[in-house]
Amino acid sequence: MRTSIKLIIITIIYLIFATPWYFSFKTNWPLVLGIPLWAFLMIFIILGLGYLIAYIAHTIKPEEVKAE
Amino acid sequence: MSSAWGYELPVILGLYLLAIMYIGYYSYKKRKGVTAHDFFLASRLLGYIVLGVGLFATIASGNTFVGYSGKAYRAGLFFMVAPAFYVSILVGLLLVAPRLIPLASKKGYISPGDFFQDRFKSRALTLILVLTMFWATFVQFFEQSIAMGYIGNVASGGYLPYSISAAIFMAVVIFVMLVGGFRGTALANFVMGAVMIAGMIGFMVVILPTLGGAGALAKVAQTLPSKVAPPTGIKLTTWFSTLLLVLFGILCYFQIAMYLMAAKDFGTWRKTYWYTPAIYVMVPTLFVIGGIIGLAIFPGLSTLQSDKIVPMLLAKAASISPLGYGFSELLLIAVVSATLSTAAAVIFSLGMVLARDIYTKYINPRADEKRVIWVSKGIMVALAILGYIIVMTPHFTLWRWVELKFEIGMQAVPALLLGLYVPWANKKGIGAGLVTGVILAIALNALGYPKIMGWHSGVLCFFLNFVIAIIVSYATRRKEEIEEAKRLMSIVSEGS
Repeated sequence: MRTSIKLIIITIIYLIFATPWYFSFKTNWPLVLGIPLWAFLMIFIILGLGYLIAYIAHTIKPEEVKAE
Repeated sequence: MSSAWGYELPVILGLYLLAIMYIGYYSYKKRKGVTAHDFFLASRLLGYIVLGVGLFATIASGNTFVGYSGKAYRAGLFFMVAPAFYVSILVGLLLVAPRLIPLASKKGYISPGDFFQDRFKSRALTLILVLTMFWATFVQFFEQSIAMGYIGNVASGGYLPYSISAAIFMAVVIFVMLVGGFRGTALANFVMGAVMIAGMIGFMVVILPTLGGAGALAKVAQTLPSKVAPPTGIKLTTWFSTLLLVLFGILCYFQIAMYLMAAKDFGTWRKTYWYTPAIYVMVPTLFVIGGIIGLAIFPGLSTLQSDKIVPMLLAKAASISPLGYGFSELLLIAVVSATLSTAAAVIFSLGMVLARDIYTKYINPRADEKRVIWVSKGIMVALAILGYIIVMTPHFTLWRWVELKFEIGMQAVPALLLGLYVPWANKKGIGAGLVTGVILAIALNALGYPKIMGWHSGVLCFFLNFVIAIIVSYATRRKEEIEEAKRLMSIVSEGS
């Protein structure tokens, strides 16, 4: 896959999943370690997305980056 | 608050600052000749640990360590957007790194202006782009001065008056920059970044539990449920818009371009991604948690009072247990580190860009490398003196400064992205989009429309800027310009 397309896709994926629109429960309960579940989950979702970005960065081989 | 700390705090702080100054001297001894390449980019010899941790220390400023808890205090868990936009920085960097790093390495770019001039062949456009980025970087320079105002006498335990402690901080920064160049600045930022991370681990493991931990957080959930509610409606739009603001806005900083151009190659740069996501999530998240705990312990603070919630929490933890006292002192050193590391990188990059992109390109094109280095050093000293004499009462909260600098500065980013990826992007299109974006962003903020239906006005201007740049470029494309751009881009395909 072209590098530019790969970068556009990862940007869109990040923007969509790092925004908590998809939590169907609009409530503060239950609490996990004192904070609502939605906030607790967000920490790990963002962390997971961060490492997805790291993985994508390592799939880009410098010598494959061409004028597209 | 000063009574919370013993005499050992200013002593520890003094020793720490001396160690930072020694790093500047050590870097001076390790220099590879007196060249612009070495002084401004450390000869592109820094490894991925120094680059990644140093860049984190540069990005995580006094605003992060002082302002974010205050924002969380006021906005509640909506400010969980902070770790989300921190990681978006990694996305933004990844958009430009695979092309800018090899190009900078092969073509010998030192500053953003070098790339803009080479790509668009327009001195006028390069000047406007550099000045737009200058705005964002200069606002951050002001922001660091304000942050120093908040932490100056607190970090010294109140034993040094603000005016003296601020002068000492600035002297340390100047010494490291002038003597050590970028190598000294980056190595000092690496050490300060490590101290910041250690301080945050102590904040998580000792200070937050000392202040009540999960129990205090649960108390806020019960007494102030609106503060921990998940965002809905227009708040979700603002969350999304904030991610865009930071993801693209971060690319307008001179110091970001400086770190990218200082990387040996893209392979070295991407190794930083193995540890930076964890740091970029942990640090802002902990300050958000701190702000929420602040709500439980110090309810009813005003906006300006809440911007000082971190020193208040640390004084409280120090009064509860000896362990809390010790780790609070460590975090105070980390707060100083956050401010100094960002200030050093910002002042250094401002000096570098003003000397390289303004002095060399527009005032004295015949200046040799030694003269450019001396001019940059003069600018750095002048900026440090200016920073010291800034005495201002903040009319905005710290967070408002962040938004304003990005909203205008990010209008320069389409030039970077389109310049790197789209061969037919040209100076007419980039210029038309940039001028429209900057004027509209300033006008909307001046007219009292910082947000429109939850969207930051600067983000909307950025997209308009982007669309105009694409349409005008396509309509005015010329075969010879496209061929020239393709030749430049093909340099990247040769490997790095």
